[in-house]
Amino acid sequence: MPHPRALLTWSAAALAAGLLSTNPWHRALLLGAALNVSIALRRHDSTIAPLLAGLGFATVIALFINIVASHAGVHVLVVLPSPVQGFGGPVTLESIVYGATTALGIAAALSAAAPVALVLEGDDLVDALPRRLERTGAAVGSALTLIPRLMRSVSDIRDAQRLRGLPTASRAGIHTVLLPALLTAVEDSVQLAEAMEVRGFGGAPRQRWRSAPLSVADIAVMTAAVTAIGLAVVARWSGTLIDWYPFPAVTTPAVPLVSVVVAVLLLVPVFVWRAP
Amino acid sequence: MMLGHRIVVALLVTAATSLTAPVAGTPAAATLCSAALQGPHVAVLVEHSGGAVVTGCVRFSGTSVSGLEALAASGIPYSTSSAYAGSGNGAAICAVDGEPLQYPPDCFSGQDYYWQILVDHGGTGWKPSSRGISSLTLQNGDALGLHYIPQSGATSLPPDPGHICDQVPATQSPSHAPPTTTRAPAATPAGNGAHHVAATGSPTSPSDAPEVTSEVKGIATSLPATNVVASAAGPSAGVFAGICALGCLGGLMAGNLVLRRRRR
Repeated sequence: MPHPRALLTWSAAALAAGLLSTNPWHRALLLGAALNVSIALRRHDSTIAPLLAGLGFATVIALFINIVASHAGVHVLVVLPSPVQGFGGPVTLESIVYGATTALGIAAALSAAAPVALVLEGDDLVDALPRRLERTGAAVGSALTLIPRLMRSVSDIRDAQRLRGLPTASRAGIHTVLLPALLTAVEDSVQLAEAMEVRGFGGAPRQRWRSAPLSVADIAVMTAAVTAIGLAVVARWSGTLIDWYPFPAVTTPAVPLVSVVVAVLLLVPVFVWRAP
Repeated sequence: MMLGHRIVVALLVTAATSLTAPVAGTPAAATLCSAALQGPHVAVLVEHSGGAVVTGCVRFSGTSVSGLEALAASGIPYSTSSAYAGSGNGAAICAVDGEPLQYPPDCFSGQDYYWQILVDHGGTGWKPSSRGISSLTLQNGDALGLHYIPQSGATSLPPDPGHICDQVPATQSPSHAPPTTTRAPAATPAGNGAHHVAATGSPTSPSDAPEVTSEVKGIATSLPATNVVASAAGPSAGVFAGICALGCLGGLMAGNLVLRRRRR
């Protein structure tokens, strides 16, 4: 079972390393490493499908925005009509490549953060917080759990209103859904607060049945993650890890050796941790 | 004897012709130089971050010429962005003579070097331009300077442009057509007679480097080989290694997926 603090350290390092360069090789390598961690270590009750759907959505959006709004580059493929100022105009190979590079960056960032949700439970995260932030963490965590409950509540109320023959999709019918959903959310919040108070929340420091110490594997992951981000920062600072842009004309980006090393270091959790 | 005389005469005529007629493809410098000095002209000087200097002399008709038109007519490759044109700023200079090799879609990264625009009005010395290159107006005897400097500022000014048009033959008159976004450079800037590179820069500066040329719809796009991550010779060993690394990651991912399914 990965220690939450070790996984949070790994996630922060992977996220920061991914944002350090626009080189597509760098981003692709880090995306591969992060996806490996998510796939190998995710909980049995979690699925990788929403992550992949999110990556696909981000890719489509990044490509679309760059195709319609970015017209730099010398290889013009087609000229789109421009009904709206700023949109339309020449579609260039460079803008498509830049959109793909941007999508790779978004995908790498999402994948770096994904293991926190796919591997850990919510209470693991609260436990991982420093003692001073425990109450804040519990409040934020509770608030975040209200969002999916609110979504379910909206769906239930909409179905109930349809059964009663009330319109729900029209502008006039929205209030027949929103008002009950808001009242339900307030009621849920009050119930949650009462439940927390009954369990002694805020009365004394949070009690743990057993404090989980950092294992050797956790320390190895944290060391590898810190080394990876340190290497990436030094490479960036020294000019070894530079940005890459497809403008004015597309060229083949170099493969930074440091990116391969960083990706290998970020793969350490796959080999030393077991899935919960 | 008659045959010997004919041969001697033929040799003399050939020698005289070769001495007096201009060699094909090489303009008579004296003729063009005098032409540059006869009509209105402006000097164009580009100084790279490494110190290499590229100069050109542009002859034009009329009373003035814009900075962008002068740069376009100089034959020095450049590219601009219209990302800031919406607020009336005109074109932004992204790259000149292959420096930088790459840039973001909005031209500036905010932390790197940029092309400072300088102007010398009639030999009064370089001064930073208060206008963008599109709205900068140059008159006869002026000089346009472009200096690639860091955000923190330049430590020195480019060399004096005073003798550029004395040394370099004038190029074509600038056309008054709207400038294109990307100016197609000549395949070999120093070899077309339009401008020359002074040997004052470091040997690794973009202008001194061998060039990678690719044809784009009949337009030659010239890129210095310095900092080119993969040369025109094809995918390098680094690219091959990158593909192998991504393949390994993909294989590991597939293996993990299979393992997880088996555990279920």
